[in-house]
Amino acid sequence: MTSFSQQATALDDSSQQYNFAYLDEQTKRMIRRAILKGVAIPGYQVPFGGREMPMPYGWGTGGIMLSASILGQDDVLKVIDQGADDTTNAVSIRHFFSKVCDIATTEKTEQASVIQTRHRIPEQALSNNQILVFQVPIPEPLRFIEPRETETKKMHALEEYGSMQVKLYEDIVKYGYIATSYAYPVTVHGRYLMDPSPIPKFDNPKLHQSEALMIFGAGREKRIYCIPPYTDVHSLDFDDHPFSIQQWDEPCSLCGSHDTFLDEVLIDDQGQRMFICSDTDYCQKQQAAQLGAEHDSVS
Amino acid sequence: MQHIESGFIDGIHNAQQCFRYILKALSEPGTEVTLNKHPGFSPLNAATSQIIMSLCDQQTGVYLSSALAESRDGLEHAWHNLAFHNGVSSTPMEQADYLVVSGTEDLNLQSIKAGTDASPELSASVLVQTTGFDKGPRFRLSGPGIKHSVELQLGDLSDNLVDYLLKPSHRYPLGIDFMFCHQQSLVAISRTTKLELISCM
Ligand SMILES: [Zn+2]
Repeated sequence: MTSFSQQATALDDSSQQYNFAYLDEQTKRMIRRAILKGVAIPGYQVPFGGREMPMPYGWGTGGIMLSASILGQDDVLKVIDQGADDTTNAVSIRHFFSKVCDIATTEKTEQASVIQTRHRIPEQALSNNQILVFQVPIPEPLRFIEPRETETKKMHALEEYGSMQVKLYEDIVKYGYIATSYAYPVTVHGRYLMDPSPIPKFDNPKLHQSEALMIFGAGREKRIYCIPPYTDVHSLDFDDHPFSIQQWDEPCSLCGSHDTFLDEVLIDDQGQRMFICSDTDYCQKQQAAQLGAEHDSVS
Repeated sequence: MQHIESGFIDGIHNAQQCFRYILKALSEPGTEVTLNKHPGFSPLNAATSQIIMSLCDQQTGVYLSSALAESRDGLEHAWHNLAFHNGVSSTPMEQADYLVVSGTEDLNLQSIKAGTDASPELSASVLVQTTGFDKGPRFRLSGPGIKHSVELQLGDLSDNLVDYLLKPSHRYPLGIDFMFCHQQSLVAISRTTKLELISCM
């Protein structure tokens, strides 16, 4: 199987014409209609049909189909993979869109009008004129509890979410706390149980009353769901075990931030470790600001 | 008498631009957006026409209310153009995905698709051609997409449309999403939007 980056590069060499943003107009219209339904029914998974993208699943086809349906000539696109702009996946997707849309791309969060992301929400607060597009591997939060689609659909229809509470409570019984730390389930607008994709639960509070529209796309299962701006999003919890986010004892080794999501990285083969921001753009900005401040105090 | 007018000047990009404004309008109910890529196919106004042109095709059922035109033939022009440019064809009210109605007509909203408990997305969007956003009852809106609350007017509306907006007969997540259109302006009201009447003007 060829990798996505090989396929994206193959587009360069191909003499074959492709439509703006690759998808044909009928597929875009169908995805656009599904996005509008998703916005009207926050947190509900809207099924969609349509053709396949020219890449294997696992490369973020759901997010790519969404981006392809919303992007226009004036957009500025940022793509992050676990917070970083420079992974193979992020670079390939950025390359793909600058090729098939001829649009501007950026690594700076505040300059982007559309941000496609895998597994993180940027640290910098998003604004109302930005759209965040999530790549989703498994859209159904109840899938681990109930493998049958017909059953989970019924559970959503009847708002039967007790089994999810039970699953989280089993964590508490077993570990003394809720061990789920990624893809932590939320309730949207007091109604639908939703999987926020495998973001760390550290990012869950950013879903609540967000300024930016958030759109989630699962390519394999062909589902779209949305959180409009200014919408209530509640992370499931219990009175005696309230929801809490990850915390670190030490700040980021590079920029010194105390309030960001940190990745643990090995720095030598002796097992030396350090903690650094997973959001590379934010970390660089903090470092630059410190350099600026030092520079000011010297001069 | 068939008269085909030109569609979007730049079909792909105009449809994308309109979609983004429609997306803005529906994800932030009460926010007015401007659709200015096409003058519209009379008797449909510019905003209504552009919504149909951006979103509809052979896969969507469209209904145009006879109340939009003076006579039954009055809709022919719009139908011919929408069929020519988008391949849409007429669908009975009960099966339509997109309906265009007049804000002042006596509407039977109970007969419009509102989805099912398992598939609430199988519901209709109702495009309401209205008399302007400086007329009619004054509402306070709150809900998803709205920071705190917002106050606005939606034009002159029939009593049963006002009644439905204030107290939808469908229970969420079932429901109808509205797009109020006047000239190039669009204001959307989602099924999650809560409306309160402030004054009946
Ligand atoms: Zn840092």
